[in-house]
Amino acid sequence: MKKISLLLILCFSLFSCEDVIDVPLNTANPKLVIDASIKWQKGTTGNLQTIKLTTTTGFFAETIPTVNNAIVYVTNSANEQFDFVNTTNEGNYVCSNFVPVINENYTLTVVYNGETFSATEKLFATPTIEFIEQKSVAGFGGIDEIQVKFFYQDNGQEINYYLIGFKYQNIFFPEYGALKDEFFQGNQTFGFYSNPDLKTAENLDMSLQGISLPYYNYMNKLINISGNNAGSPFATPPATVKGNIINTTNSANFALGYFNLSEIDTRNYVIE
Amino acid sequence: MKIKFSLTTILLLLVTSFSVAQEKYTLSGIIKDAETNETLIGVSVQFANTNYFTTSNEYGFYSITVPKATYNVITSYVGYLNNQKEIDLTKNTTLNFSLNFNSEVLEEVIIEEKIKSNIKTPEMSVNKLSTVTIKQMPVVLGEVDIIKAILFLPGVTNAGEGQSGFNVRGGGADQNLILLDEATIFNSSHVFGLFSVFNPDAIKDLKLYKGGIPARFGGRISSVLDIYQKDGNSKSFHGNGGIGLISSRLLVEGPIVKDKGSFLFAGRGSYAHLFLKLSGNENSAYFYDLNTKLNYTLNKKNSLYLSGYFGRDVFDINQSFTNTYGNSTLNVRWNHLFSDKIFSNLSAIYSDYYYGLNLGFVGFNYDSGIKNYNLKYDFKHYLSNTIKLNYGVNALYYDFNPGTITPNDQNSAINFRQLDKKYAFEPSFYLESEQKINDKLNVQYGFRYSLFYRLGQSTINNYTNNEAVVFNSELGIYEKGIPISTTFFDSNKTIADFNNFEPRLSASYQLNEEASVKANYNRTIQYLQLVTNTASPTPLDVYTPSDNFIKPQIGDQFAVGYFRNFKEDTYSLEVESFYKKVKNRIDYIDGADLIANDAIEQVILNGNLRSYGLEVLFRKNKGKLTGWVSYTISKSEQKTPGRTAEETGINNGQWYRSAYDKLHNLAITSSYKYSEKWNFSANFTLQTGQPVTYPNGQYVYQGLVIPSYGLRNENSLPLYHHLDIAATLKPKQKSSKKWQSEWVFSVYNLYSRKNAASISFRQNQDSGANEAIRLSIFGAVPSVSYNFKF
Repeated sequence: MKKISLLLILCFSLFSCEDVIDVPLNTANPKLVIDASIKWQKGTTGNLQTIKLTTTTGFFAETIPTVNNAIVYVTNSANEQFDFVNTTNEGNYVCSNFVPVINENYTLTVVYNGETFSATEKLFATPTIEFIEQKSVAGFGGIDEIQVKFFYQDNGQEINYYLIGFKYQNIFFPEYGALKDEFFQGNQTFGFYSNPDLKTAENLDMSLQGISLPYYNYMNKLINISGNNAGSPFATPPATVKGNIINTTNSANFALGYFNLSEIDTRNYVIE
Repeated sequence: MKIKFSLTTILLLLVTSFSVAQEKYTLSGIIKDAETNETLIGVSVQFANTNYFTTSNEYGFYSITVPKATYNVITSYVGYLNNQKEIDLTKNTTLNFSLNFNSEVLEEVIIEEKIKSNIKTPEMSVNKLSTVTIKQMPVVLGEVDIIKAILFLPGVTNAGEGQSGFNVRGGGADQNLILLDEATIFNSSHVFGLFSVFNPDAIKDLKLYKGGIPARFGGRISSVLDIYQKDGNSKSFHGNGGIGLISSRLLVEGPIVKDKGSFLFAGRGSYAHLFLKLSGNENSAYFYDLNTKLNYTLNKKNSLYLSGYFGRDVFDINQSFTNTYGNSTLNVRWNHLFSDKIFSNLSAIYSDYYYGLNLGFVGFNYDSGIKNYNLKYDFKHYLSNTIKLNYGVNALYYDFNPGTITPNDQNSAINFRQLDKKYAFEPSFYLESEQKINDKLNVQYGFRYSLFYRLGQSTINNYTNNEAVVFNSELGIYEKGIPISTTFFDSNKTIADFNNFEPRLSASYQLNEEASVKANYNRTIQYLQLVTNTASPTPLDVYTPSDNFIKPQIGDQFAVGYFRNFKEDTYSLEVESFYKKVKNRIDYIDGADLIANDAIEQVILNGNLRSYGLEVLFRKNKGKLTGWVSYTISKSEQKTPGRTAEETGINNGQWYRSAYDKLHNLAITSSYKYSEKWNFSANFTLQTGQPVTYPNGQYVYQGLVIPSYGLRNENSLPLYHHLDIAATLKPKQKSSKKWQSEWVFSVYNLYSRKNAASISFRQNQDSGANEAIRLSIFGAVPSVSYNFKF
């Protein structure tokens, strides 16, 4: 075999690219959306709670229509009623005398356009965020990036589900992750956030909530279809995610959203 | 409509054909390439001025029994010069043929055989591609790719650019049986689908069965892609290879014992990651594969073959995320001639697929895979000049590992976990006859009988009413069932078993010397299900065996076709229409989580798949300009109704477009031989966009913008099309040198069409406004590669 010398002229313009395009979309008839997540901040009375009512609208619409003419209340297992009142005309229904109790069952009732919507859920306990750890590691492209972890203790006596949330000041919306303790039963474990843009002195808010299995399933689906993964060839086929709210008058006209109750622990962290 | 026909019918047909007695002798032998001794598959052997005709099998063997006489025997094979021998057949005779490749060497000899439509045998819905044809087609980054080439055939599509797998006649990518020297390849792609795992240099021959699947194949519904590796040159030492932008390949072959045994080693590796390393980037992504083949002819009646494949893809991001996956196969075969009429092949085959993930930053390793042990014994029995029998037995054993999770150090917050391993055994046998009823009518009929045992050791969940998926009628959604108990099955216990009779029938009727009509029906059974919920398969998709919750898929396909050669075989036309239906196609409840899921049964429902369409293939086979136009119009739909009247099913129980529904599919490929030096080629493809679901609204929940959706797959991505061109330059070879080389220059996607691989809908993280994002993989991609032979 003879020695070969080779000349390779490379003209290489491989790229994969993302661009924003116009896609004409249809808009379905509006549906009621009930954003009813009762969060009992650790160390507070939890008396002040808000439920928001809106409707669906066209995907590219800039404003979300609010619902202001509904009746909203929550009852506990002793049939004690907590009224949520619309004061601002922005779809916010506020209650200032709510009494949260761990493991208590609550029922939400919303009466809107002559139809009654209802959901029942338990209030879940949440472990405390014990400490926060910040590290700098090499990320994609070899550039160092900051990772933040908050640690908490999983209860080894039961199966737990968690919703962790992060709100980074430079991102418009919060980012959530739903977890089950399957792989870390009884261990001290962590919530994890990493973003190549994180810089010193920037704000990163974090939260931890213990949640139910159905809410875990619900949030997983919701995160999937809201995220950037949606529509990719590796994504699952998207479908409308139904929550735990039932239309007792006309079941076909279901409402979107969820009625969830949790203790919540939060930290406002400043990147060091 | 159900077709049932019994074993006795087949036997009766066989008996009738046995009863014809005459003074007859057998002519048999091996057909090889004259230069390399490489056996040739599918060479036609014709007796001039008679209707006697046969073809060589997968090992180059042919046999035919005809009345005593003097014959002029002609062999013809695509790309080779015809060979003619006169034989006085007065006893059983062995006659081997050595065919010369159509090169300038032997100018005096007769004619070269060109591609044409096969109008003589009942074989239909089958496409053959030679590596010569494949190598002329322009490709992304100059990487010659077998899977990309078959996408130009009618009835074959894939999910889009850079997507793995292929879809045949509206079937799933998991419904293709891909065989490399008879060993199952579980994942046919490198780099998530940019390239295929087959090194084109090491491939001898490939055949894609889209329907009319012979009884010797089983286990997948839609198609069989049967690929044979080269044996290696047993005359002299040679090599060939290529250097491209992404990868390089080298193949060496030569005799172990001259004319008796040979070896072949081929390797291919990518090196784009080396450039990353040079630029100081710690990430890397590369793939490589190795092909091996050894063969040895013990004597006239016995030959041995050993073949192997090993391939891996590695992605490493800062050593905090490492992903390794690939196939490996090893196969030992023994060809034995019991007589000049009975050819046999015994194969012992091992194949596996491994997928591993090391998530350093979370602190664990994840390993999964499938192992497959296969023993098969196949016979080809050349009874007479009008009847040939194929029969055999096959035993497959599977070992599935859905996942082993190991913490990667002591500080890891992750616990060790082994997802339950699964075992299965799939024995089968088949009998098939290829029979010539008269000069015009040929039939092939037979069956395969397959059994499947899901074996212990395994722990199986039990559910109320045996329902692993529960319908919540209040909310109108499907939910995971909660096991009420578990049953442990020991390793000698059967958890579930199935058996199926799979009839296969095809017939051809020759209208005249140039045209024929054909029809076929086949039933195929698939006992393995690929657990995947995405439009195209991903490397981490796992296969799972049928069990008490997941039923085997049952496919029935009918096809009819018209085949015609024109103008002395310059042109050929093939028109086929098919209807296919599949029972027990698994579908997933909304939001099903599939990764590391120990109880897949809780998220799946059994549904149906149907597809139908018309395929047209028009080819120009001779002249300076050759190529083909293929057009397919077809539908592929899925339906998963509720199990009871109360349940909604998936997509409200209505038929919906499957992820691989492409109404129109046009592909044109052509090659123009300008001179001995220059060859030009071009490809054009145009397809309906992939089915997708666009949102029909939005709402806000907990600060997140959520798109809301109507029914599944009611929208399509924009029309998909691109034009690719290539030019091959063969510099004038100095006659004294063995070294031959060529340059291939190509441009993929010449007019830089931004075909959407996906369109996603999301909220912009800076502005908060909603937007639609198109992801496109390739713009115009020019490339150059250098190929050599010595």
